[in-house]
Amino acid sequence: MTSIQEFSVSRTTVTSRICQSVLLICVFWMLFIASGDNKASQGKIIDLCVFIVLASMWNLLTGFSGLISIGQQAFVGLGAYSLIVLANGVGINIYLAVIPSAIIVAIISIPLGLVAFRLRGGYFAIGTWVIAEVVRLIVKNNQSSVIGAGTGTSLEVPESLKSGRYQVTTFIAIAVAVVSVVFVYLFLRSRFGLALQSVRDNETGARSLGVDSYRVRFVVYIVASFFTSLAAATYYIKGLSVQPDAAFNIGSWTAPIIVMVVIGGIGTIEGPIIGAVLYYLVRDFVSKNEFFSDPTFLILTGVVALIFALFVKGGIWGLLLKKFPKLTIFPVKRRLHIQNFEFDQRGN
Amino acid sequence: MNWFNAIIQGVLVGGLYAMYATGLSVSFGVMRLVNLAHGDLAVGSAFIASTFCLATGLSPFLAIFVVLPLSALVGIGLQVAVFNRVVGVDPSYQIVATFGLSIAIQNVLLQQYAANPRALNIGEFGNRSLKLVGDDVVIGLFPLSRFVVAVLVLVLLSLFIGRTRIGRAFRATSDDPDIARLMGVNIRSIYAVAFAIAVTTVALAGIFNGMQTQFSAADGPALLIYAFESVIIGGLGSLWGTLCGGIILGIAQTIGAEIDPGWKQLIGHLVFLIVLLVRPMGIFGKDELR
Repeated sequence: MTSIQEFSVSRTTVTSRICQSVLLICVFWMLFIASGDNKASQGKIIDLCVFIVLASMWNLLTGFSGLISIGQQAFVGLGAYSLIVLANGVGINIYLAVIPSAIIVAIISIPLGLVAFRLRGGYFAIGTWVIAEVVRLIVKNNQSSVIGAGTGTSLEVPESLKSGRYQVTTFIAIAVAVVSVVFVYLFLRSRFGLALQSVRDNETGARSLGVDSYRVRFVVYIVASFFTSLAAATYYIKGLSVQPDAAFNIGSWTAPIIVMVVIGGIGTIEGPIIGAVLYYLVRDFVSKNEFFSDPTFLILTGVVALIFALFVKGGIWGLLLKKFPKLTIFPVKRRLHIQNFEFDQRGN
Repeated sequence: MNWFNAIIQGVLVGGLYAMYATGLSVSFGVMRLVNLAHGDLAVGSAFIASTFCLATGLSPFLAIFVVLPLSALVGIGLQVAVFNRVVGVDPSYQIVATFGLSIAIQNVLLQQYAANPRALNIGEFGNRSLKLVGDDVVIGLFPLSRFVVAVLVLVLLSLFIGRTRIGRAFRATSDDPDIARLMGVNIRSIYAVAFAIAVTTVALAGIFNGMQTQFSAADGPALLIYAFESVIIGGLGSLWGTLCGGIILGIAQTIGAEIDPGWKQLIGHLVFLIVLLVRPMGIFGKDELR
């Protein structure tokens, strides 16, 4: 037996540093476009950043915590309407109202979570949907002039803020996306993230080691509601007009989110980002092609989600990892280096 | 406002909701499968029945005898091709797979039949009614017979599960699939039968719905939610509980509609949420939700 003379433990690898640098360059490129005048590109960046956040948060819930939600549209709609209430109703500056409206939604998510957490697994999923429907119907039946009932309302942009709205919104969207992804990364590396993943993998085991599984999941539920509504509020500074049936629509929010995460790779930090980018590239291509009507694209989306869930469970990122096991952008697991050898946690 | 009438109508609608819910209850009971495409299968069957009636000129009641065997086959096909691969794995893949199927079915229907609503015309029978208590309480003959059929389906199903050999295999598989397999139960064929039953009952409910009201391609999700609420209100694993759940939901909706037409769905959802908070195992449920 040789004695171990030198060893070290690390998380980052050479590949992770290279990949992170490439990602950083992409962020700077987006910031460059944000400072320009091309509204079409800025609009695309806002949409992409918003959906990266939504997908990352759904993935944090479903992929990392085992909480399958198909009711994320509840927090999109609530984010939109909180923004409307704060900006149109109270009169706060539209940009400054983004974070407070997300905080309001995070607070609202607590009672909603208390109801949803009565259900488990697949029934939790339908429960989140029912809750989203209840919120939609309550908003739709609210006749006050700020909410505007079924016909909805528009975000009022004061004259002084009208110029440069796309630029500022693009900056906010990029910031929200970067903060969300970095947050998920640091969150999963923390003690709390470890507890979270242990609950997903084996709840009984995790509880026997002292993890409060209910509390851990509840915190994630609130965090995901916060970031989802943050992204939604950003989206509506660009979109301006809000209708309950559109803002709380499962087909225009939760369906694409799920497809993105499943294509990219559920349960990884990289998956949702890759999925969101791919989804946007395909949709952009399809919208220019006359063969693909809206239903055809949606049929395709549904079938792709089905095929990935049945046959390609790890998504595209999973396929890449199989080919290049050392590939990583956001390393969560630790690696052990002994002299010239290197092991990861699985002993490879 | 006529409360008594609202309650009677609610009970009759509740029978239909129970029929929607039966399939959901059976597929969850036997294979722990939550099928998000459940409502879309009902709408799809109604469209197929409508196509059949338009093509042949026959009554929708005859279409039932064509569509139901077809749905049983569709059920077996879906089980073999899709659901056998997601039974027993991480539920998130189940949800994603059935959600994808739901989106695909909805949009195939939308593409095939456009967004216009359709209805199944049952002629004079749809207009006949029984008058109770003067003119205050009117019971449609069709809703009444639909309710009777729903109860009959539940009676047959509970006899099937309680008294037959296959029914015993159902219960064994539900309790512990691994042990059931050791005892010689062919799990995959049990799953196929269970899913065939689920699709057939929901197809019948879809056709019955289309005989009274208009339906369109986007209706599936709402039907899924009603079915789900009936199951949870009644309590998992109890077919009679599901009937009661459907009736409670139906009454809540008709009373809500009586107060304000915009509140029909909302009051139904709120009753569901109250049951969930006060008695999460449902009214007839025995143990905690799993």
